[in-house]
Amino acid sequence: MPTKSIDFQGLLAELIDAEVDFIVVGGVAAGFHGLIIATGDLDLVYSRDSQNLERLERVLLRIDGCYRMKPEVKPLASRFDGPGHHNLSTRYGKLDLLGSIVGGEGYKELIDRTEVVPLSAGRAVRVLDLPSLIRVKEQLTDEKDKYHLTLLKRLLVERMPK
Amino acid sequence: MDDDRKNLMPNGIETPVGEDGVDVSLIRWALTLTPLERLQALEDLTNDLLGLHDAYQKH
Repeated sequence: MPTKSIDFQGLLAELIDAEVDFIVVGGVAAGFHGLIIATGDLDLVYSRDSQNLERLERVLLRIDGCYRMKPEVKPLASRFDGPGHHNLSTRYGKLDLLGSIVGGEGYKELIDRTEVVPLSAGRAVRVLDLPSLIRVKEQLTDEKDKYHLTLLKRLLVERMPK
Repeated sequence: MDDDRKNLMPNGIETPVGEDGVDVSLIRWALTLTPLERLQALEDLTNDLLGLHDAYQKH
């Protein structure tokens, strides 16, 4: 069966239009900052505020959201109130929802370390800033993460004013 | 090195590969794009690789 193509822009637009509060982290955040490396999923840290979880549930059900390993399990708001990770599929591609990232930091702790990035049609998205992305990567130990850390550090140097 | 962004070969020609082994040409190109264009490029790259993966699986 062919692998479904991904549509990060479509997925972000759905979440923004549904007024879900979230921060883009991971490979897509790195891409926004200028490190274009293939990434198979969109990683988001979401606000665990109860109203936000309701909005998140509504949009996920509308875009065929389900758990990748257990497609029969619906992504209901009640599942999202902890710090864990939820690996989902949607009609736009894979979506990893993170209640927190390494170090236990969640939406509230990270919000002051984000940049607002404009998208099309007047939309905008919050993205974890580059120094914070680097700090996250520094805590990860797998070889791929170490390689990405080297690239992110180089990106930081390249972005410095000349 | 006065400027960490420069990495000169012995003949004085600037190489796109920094001391950390990173070829910075892709990063420099990406920094000429808007964030939305970067997202589009990332999406295109990922979908191209998914297409290659599918083609490989068929053989």
